[in-house]
Amino acid sequence: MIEPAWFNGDVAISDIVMLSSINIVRNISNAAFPLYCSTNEKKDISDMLLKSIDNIDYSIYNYDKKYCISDISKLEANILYERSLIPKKIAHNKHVHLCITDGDKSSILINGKDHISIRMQDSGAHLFSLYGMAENIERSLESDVEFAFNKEFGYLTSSVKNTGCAITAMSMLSIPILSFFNTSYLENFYKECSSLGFIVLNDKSEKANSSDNLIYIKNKYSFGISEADILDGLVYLVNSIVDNERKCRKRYIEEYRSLIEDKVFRSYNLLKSARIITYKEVKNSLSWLRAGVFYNLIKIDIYTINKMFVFLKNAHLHAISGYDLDDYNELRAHYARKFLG
Amino acid sequence: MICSICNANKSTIHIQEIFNNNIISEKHVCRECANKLNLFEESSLFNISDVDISEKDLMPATLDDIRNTEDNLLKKDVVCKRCRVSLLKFLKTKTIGCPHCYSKFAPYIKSYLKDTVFANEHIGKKPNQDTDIIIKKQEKIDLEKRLNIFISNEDYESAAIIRDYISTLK
Repeated sequence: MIEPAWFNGDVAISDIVMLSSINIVRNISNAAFPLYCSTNEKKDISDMLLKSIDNIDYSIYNYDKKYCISDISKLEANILYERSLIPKKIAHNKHVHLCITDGDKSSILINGKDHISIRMQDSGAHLFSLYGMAENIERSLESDVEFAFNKEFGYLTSSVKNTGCAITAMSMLSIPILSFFNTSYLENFYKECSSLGFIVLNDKSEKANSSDNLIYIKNKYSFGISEADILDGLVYLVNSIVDNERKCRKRYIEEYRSLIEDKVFRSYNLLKSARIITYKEVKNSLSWLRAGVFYNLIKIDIYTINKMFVFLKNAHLHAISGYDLDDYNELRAHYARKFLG
Repeated sequence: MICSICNANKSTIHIQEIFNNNIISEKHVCRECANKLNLFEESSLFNISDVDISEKDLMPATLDDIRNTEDNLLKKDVVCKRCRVSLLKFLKTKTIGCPHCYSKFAPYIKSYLKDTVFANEHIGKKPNQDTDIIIKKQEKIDLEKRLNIFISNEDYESAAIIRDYISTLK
């Protein structure tokens, strides 16, 4: 199976920031949004957009993989969902197309909730360069298609919450030490995030507690704020939490060495010797393994950790093994051992 | 309750005399009798005849009032002609059917955005606009990183050149 490019990780920061992404949403003027469109209209729109995607300069990105979501199998759709390239409820709708470049770095979803949604993702937190690339694609589409725009409301989207610049910037972080030792800092940090217009979610896309060790930070709104300010804010928040996690890692290893080592090796051996394991346990353990890599306690690379994070999900296990099961916990334990060698 | 003085009108003013948390006396007076007795001029707090407030204004909004306004919205039946999305659907789900809805429901969308985002208008990219701002910002970040490296290496001459260049970008 093809692996996303972000698995390799960004050497400087990938022990904390796993992934960052930018999502730009646009709609075509003089057409209803996809959920209120007739199938004929949708077909016309998708044909037009697919043509203009072909016109995109190949030196920037080559969208060589094109899926029509209603034609692909349920398993393939689930895999795309687990890689967060499509939203969950879209699978049954007709004329929904997804174009992906090599390594999942850039993807364009046509006729999802909105007509066009351009997504760029990469490891690390290079949000400005990600936005620059997404905007290049948007600009080359703009030469063919007229986008729905209003002077007052900005770019119009199907959800009023997303109108304005219509971008979503997101970073995914793993902070095992802060969430274990310094929850009071995190509580204040979450308050600061919401005062700056950002929201912190956990992996179930609920509001994060201070004890969650895997968090997503993203902007709540994009109305009344410029793109540069959104990116600036997110970069500031990510940098401040990364600095604090690093500081805590250095400080607490002196005080609580045996406790941290116990946590890391316990997680490592849970993955290495469990015979039945849930995905929740896997996620929690992988978060501690990242800390273990930082302390040089265990000899695995970030690539393996990232790979396990995605490939131990249900649909991926189904695709690798070829077994269609109700309960993947036993198979998950088998593959966890295999990945760790 | 009927006025205890004229025994005819409905009482709107209730006076309680309280001493040590015990109610000593209670009076229920209508507005006319209160004016005749100069109740409020004596206490000189305020003159009731100056204050012209109807009783309805003093009452807080009841549930019925709120229901009535919702019914009015339904009766008005504001529906976008192109996509058949009604105003009520927008108010419940905050989703909309087509770009035309934005001009149809403009005041409601504006007030919603004002309440939640505290903003009045779109700031940011416009169609067919060069966004050098973003590129310049990235350039600035890169330059600042290089500046820090020069300063930590104590190469102040190069640092000064970069510092001057950053100030021109601003």
